[in-house]
Amino acid sequence: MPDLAALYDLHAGAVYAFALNLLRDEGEAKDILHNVFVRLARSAGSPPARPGLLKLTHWLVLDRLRQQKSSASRETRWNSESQPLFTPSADPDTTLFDEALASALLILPVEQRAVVHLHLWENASFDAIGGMLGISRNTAASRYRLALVKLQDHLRPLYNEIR
Amino acid sequence: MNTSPDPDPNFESLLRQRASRLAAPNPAWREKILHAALTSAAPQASSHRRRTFYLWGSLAACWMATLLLNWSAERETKRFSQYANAQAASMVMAGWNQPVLLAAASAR
Repeated sequence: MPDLAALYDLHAGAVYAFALNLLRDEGEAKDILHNVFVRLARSAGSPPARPGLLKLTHWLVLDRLRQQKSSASRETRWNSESQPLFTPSADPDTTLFDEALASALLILPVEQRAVVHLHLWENASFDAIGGMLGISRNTAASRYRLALVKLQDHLRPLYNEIR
Repeated sequence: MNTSPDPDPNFESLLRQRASRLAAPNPAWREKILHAALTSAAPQASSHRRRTFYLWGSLAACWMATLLLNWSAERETKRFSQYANAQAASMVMAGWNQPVLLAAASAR
């Protein structure tokens, strides 16, 4: 059995942040983190590296989203109980931009948000993202570009102030 | 053809800087999650051992049954052959000629 404690210390943050970005629910992100490590404990072979864990996380998130019968009520929950995606900063401008970015990410479809998260915050190449999400390299790159343009449009006033 | 524009590198860089401040899991969850994972893995390992035991047990039982059937078939063949030889000897003694006995033997 893999050394779960070491794997947890190494990857739990990435798994949780990815799940939280896609689900925006602290409880559900915690469930996903729990399920990832339960599956890891049950696996007989060598432990997967970070991309393998993020791939499993993405698969579990999609499964969770499929289980959500009422997408309308989900949207309402997202708007009313949105969880902070970033830890608060001492600088109010940074906190303001973080909050705006977290909200702007919600306008993206889950597929685009996953690509943006993995490329920006996991430093994954488009090839690696393609492998994790089961899409081609070109699809991953295209989703990323579209998503970033949407984010920039949405955050333009704040971005112009910062710049 | 890909028509989506390239993203602004400065904007991209600004977003990348957020990596270090992504929300982290509550430290209090660590022990609970690890304990739950290890607890759930224990019956799984036991069940895996049981499945392996049943698999090898079934294979051994099949092998033993094959050996038993072979032994039984050989024994029956030997008994029949002894019986046929005794029958042939008694027929020779009763005056049957050799060609008839050879034909009977080939028919066996």
